[in-house]
Amino acid sequence: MPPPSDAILRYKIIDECLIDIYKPYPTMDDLKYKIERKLKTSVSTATIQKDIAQMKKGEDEGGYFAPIKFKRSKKGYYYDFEKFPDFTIQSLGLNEKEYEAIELAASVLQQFKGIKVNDSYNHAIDKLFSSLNIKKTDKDKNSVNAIQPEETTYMRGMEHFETLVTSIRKKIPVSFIHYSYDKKLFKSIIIHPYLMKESNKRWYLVGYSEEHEEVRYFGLDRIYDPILIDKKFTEHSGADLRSLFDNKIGLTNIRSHKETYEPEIIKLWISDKMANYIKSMPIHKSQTYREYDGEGEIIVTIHVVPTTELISLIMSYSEHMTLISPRWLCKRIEDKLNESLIKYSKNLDYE
Amino acid sequence: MNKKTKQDSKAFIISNPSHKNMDGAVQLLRITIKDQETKIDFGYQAGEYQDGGWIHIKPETFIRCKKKAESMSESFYTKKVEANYFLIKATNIPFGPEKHHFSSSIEWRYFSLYFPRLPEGTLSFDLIEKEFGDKDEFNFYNIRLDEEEKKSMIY
Repeated sequence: MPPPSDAILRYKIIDECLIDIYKPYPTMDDLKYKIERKLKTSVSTATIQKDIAQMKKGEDEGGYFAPIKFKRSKKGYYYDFEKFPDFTIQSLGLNEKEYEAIELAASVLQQFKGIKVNDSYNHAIDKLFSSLNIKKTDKDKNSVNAIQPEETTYMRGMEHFETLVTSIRKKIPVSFIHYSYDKKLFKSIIIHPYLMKESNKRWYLVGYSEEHEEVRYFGLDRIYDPILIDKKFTEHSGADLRSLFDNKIGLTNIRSHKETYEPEIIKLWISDKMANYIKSMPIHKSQTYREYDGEGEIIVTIHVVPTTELISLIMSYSEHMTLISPRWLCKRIEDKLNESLIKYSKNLDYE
Repeated sequence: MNKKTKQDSKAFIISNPSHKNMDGAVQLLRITIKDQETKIDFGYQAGEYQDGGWIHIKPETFIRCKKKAESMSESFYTKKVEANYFLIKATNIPFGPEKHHFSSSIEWRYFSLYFPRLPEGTLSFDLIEKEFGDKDEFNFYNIRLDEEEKKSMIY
């Protein structure tokens, strides 16, 4: 089990004392004084002794293989630099700019701490914060609040994340139970997994499905009970998998009027109020635009496979975005809007 | 622990086994045979009742396996009915008379039933919640374990 984050902060202070060439052989009292002063909390001798013992342990047990020894004549501790020259638990060796860049990235990673991605993840983040000397206690919260990415909420199925990533890395097929929200049916699936893909804050497992005999993706929130199976792995033979998602917004393809899933030219009218936002952050990398009326309105063109996420995006801009073509997709959006209008006009009492 | 025991090395799954059942709302999805147990995974779609209804599993539920004949005297019969194996544990579904109530017809439930490990050579088995029960009982017949194409060894 990884040590708690407070312990990691103490390890760091102990380490600082042990590498301090101006005050070698710190005694137990020295360590206690330094820790209490820096963390502004009392700490017992027994705790520090446990910390030292933990630091000596291997990485697999949450330690650092620290060569800490005790010199009786000095009644103090030291690192065995004869055998391990320059040892420190903070051996990142970063320059100031690199340090700042990592500090920023670490603050972003911190946002995912609440999600159970991996048993070792929280511990690794704590270690990174500790190594970078980023204070993260409540008192010092402001030091990491310079950036605030959107919070990621827990999604059902994230508990399988580690198992599935392992199966991808080691190329091991996986059996799992899948529930389809649309069909309202379960299925036992065997997949040869290639990739974990995030889309709209949801994670998907992408791989070759034996059942469907093609590459499919399955939302993690609909995956139950994955079991790694001993079977020959089917490699992906087509184009780079990542490129499969390049020509779409989101993942869920809509079958076109031609019953295909081909990329199409999508033309959108954008209001003057929204035009600058769309220009500064394109909705897709294929986006081009032209001025429409000289008063700020623009016509945007993208080349993508129509998806439900594209429809949601268009509808989310409400009166500021209108689909011009293809017509079959306009009709789908019109139907959806009519359905909504009927619901609003009925003024139903849902209480 | 990466070390596999002798029995672990014979652990396997059967994905979407063929069977006959009495109720369309519950799907038999996968069988896992390992260590000392037989685990059977099910999915239930609460669509029949407006409020979703309820489910439970009777504690007296059992499986009755059919095994290949092992001797000349037995070979007169192509299959031999073995002893029954009773339910040990259930996850995600309560034992009756306790009930899990759904709150709407669009809800679903994935659940598993655990029985002792079936003997080697088992060709098929029946899963019986209540013998000669009605359509609401979870009864599945002739669940096939001999479909090699649906069998995968566990890693």
